[in-house]
Amino acid sequence: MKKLNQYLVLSLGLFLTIGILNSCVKEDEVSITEPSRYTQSDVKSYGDLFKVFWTIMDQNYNYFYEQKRQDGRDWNAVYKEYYPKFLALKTYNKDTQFNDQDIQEDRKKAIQYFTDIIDPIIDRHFTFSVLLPSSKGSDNTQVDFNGGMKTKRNNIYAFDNKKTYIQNKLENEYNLIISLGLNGTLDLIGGRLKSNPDIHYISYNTFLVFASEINLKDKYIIPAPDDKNLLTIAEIDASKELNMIEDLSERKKARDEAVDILKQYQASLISLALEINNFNNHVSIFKTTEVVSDTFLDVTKKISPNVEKLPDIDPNSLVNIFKIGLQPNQAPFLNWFFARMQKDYTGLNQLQVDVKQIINKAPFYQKFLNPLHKGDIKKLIIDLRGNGGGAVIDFRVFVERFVTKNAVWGYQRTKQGNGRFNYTPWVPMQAKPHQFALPANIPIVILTDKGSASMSEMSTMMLKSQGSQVISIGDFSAGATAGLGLSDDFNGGSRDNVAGVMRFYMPLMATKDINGNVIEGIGVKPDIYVTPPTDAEVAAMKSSPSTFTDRVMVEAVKHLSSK
Amino acid sequence: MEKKLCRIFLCLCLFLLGKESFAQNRFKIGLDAGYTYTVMHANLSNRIDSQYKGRYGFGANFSGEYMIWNSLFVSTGVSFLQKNYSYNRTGSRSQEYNNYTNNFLAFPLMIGVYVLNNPHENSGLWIKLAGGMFTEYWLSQKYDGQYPVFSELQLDDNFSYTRVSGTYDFKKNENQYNRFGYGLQGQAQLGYSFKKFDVYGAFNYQYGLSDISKTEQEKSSKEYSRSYMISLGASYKFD
Repeated sequence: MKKLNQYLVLSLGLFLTIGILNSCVKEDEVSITEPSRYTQSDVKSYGDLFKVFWTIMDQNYNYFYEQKRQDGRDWNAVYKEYYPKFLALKTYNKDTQFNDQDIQEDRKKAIQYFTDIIDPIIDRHFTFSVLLPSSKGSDNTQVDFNGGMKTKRNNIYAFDNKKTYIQNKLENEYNLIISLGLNGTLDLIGGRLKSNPDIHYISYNTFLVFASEINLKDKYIIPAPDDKNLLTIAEIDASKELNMIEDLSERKKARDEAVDILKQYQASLISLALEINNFNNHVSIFKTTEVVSDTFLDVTKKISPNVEKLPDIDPNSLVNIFKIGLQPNQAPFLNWFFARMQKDYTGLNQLQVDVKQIINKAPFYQKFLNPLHKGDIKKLIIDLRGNGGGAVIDFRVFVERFVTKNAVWGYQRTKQGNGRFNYTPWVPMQAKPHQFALPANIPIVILTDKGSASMSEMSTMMLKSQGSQVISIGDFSAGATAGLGLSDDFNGGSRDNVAGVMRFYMPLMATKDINGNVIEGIGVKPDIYVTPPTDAEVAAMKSSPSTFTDRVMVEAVKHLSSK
Repeated sequence: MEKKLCRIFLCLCLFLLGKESFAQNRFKIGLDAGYTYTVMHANLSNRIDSQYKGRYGFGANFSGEYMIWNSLFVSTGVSFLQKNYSYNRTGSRSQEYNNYTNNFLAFPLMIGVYVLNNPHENSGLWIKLAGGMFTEYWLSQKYDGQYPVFSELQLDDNFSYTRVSGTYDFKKNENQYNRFGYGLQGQAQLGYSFKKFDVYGAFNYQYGLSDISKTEQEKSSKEYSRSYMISLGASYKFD
C-alpha cells in the first residue's frame, strides 16, 4: 500500500511538472500578414478577395466600437453573412467555362455586396477601391466604395464656384496660388469685405497653407566677385571634360553655353555685392518678427532682377537631366560644369528661389498674417466650405495663429494590437498659440458645409475650443474627423495597395470632440445652421456670380456686425 | 457560454471552500502574500516596434486545503492578484508606452499531493505540488501611458507625446474586455510544519486560456495573460 502511494505521488508530481513546464514553451507563431505583404496568390477567388478585405478591416479599422453601437452590426456577422455569398461567385479567374455574361453577373453581385457592407461604415474618409473582373477580353476594372455611399450628399459651396463671387466682394484682397506638384495646388483668397471693411475674410481650397510660409535662411552668403577660387573661363577652356568632345563645333557650342552661364553668374555677383548685406539685415528682422515691411520688400525687389533670370545649374533638375540626356557626348563636361558651378554658387541659387517666394507671398503677409499678429484684424470669417482637408502640419503653421490659449480640443484613439477593439485610451489633442498668433480673442466665424472635411473639421473643433467668440455657421461638416498617415506610427489604418487588386484609404485613428462625442459620419454641428445651397443656388453661384446671394455669408456678416 | 462556465466554476470553488471550513477533518487554511509578474501574450508580428512587456504586481491568496486520501488533497481559495503588464513601442518610437495595472479576483481549484512529508501527519519540512484551473474576475484596470498625438505633428516631422492616465471604464467597455477569465494553474509550496501552524513559500503559475476580449476573434488577434506569483505565508491546520 505504501509503495502504491509513492507511485501515485511520483506520477502526479511528474504529471504536474510536465504540465507546468510544457505551458512555458510554445512553438513559433505564424506572423500576421501586413496589408502591403499580401500577394496575388492570396487572392485567387472572390472568396479570397472578401477574406483579405475583411481581415485588414478587422485588424486596422478604428471605429468598430462606435459602428457596433450605431448600426448594431457585428463584424463577425458580416463575415458569416457575406463570406458564403462571395464564395458562391465563381468567375473571378474568368475560367473557360464562364462567358462574359456570367462574369458581369458576378461582378454586379460583388459590387452589391461590397456596397451593402461598406455603406454603413461611419468613417467618412474611408474608401475601398478594388479591381473586379469585367469581361474575358479586358483587364479588371476599378470600383470604389465608401462609407455613406448610398446617401446623396448635401450640395456644397465648392471653392472654385464661390471664388469669383467672393472676390467681387473683397477689397485690399490677395490671392495666393502655389502648386505643390502631385500634392495639389493651394488657392488662397482673402481681404476686407467691401460692405463691412471691419470684417476680414479668408478662404482656401485645401489645407496646404504651409506652402504660403516664407522660409528663409538665416543669412545668404554669396562669394565675392573677386574670389580667386571661383570657376574661370580659362578653367573651362582647359577642362579635360570639354576637350573630350571630339566634334569641334559641338565642343565650341558647349563651351560657349557654359561661358555664357558663368558670365551671367559673375555679373549677378557684381550687382549683388552692394545689396546683399542690406538684404541679410532685413532677413534677420523678418526671422524674429515675421514682418514683411515695405522696405524689406523694396530691397528684395531690387535684388530680384539680378537673380531671377539666372539659369538653372542643378545637375539633378529636370531641365538639366533632360539637357544632359539629349547630348550624351557633352554629358561628362556638363556634369563637371554643373557640379563646379553648384559648388561655387549654391548661395546665389538659394537666394534666387527665396527672393521669388518673398515677392509672391508678401501680399499674404502684409495684408493678413502681419495685421493679424499686430491685432489690426478685429473680426474674421474663415470660410472652410468645400475644403476637403489636407496636411496636418497646417495646425502648426497656420491654424494655431488663431489660438490664444492652450486648450484641449478633442481626443484621439488609435489601435494597439490586432484585436478588433484593441484600442489605446483616448488621448487629448491640444492647441497651443502660434508664435505669431493674434494677440487677443476676436470674434471669428467659421463657415462649414458637407464639403468641409478632415482638417477643416478638426480646425473648426480646435478653434471652437478657444471660447464662445468663435462660432461656426452653415451646414454640418462632412463627418470625416480622423486622420491619415503612416500606419506604422499608430498601428492602424491603411493606405496600402493590397496584392495589386485592392486599395484602402482608412484613417489610423478615431476622434471625439471636446464634449466626448464621436462625430464621425455626423460632422461638426454649426452654432447657426443654414440650409445647404439648393440646386438652383449652386447653378447661380457659377452663372451669376455678381448677383448671387450667399445665405451663409449673410448670416456670418449679421453675426459679426452685432459684435 | 464562457461566462456561464466561469460562474459555475466559481460556485464550485466557494462550495468546496465552505465545505472544507466546516468539515473539521484534515484540512488547513492558509494566507500568503507576495509579488506577481505578468506578461500579455499576443501576436504583434505585423505591428512594427511593438511589444508587450511584463510588470510586477502584488498578490495575496487565501486558500483552503482538504486531504482526500493519504497525501492527496484538493485545494481552493480566493486570490487577489495584480496582473500588470505594459505595452511598449521600441526603437524610434520608444517614447510610446502604456503601463497597465489590473486587479483580479481569482478562484483556483486544484488537486495536489505532498511529495515530501505530510504536515497533517508530521512536523518538519514539507513540499507539495498541485495543479488545476482557475477562474477570475477582472476588478479594475488603471493605465498610465504616453502616446504620440497625430494632430500635434511638429515642424521637425515628429509627433509630440501626451501622457494619459486613468481608470478603464468597464461600464462602457470600449475595448470589449472579457471580465471573466479562466486558465490552468500550477502550484509548488515548500513549508515547515509546527504542530497546528505551518509557514511556507509558494510559487503559483497561471496560464490564461481565455482571450482578453469577449468578442469572438481570429486566433491571431487573441491575447492571453501568463502570470506567476511568489509568496510567503502561514497556514493553520484543523486536524
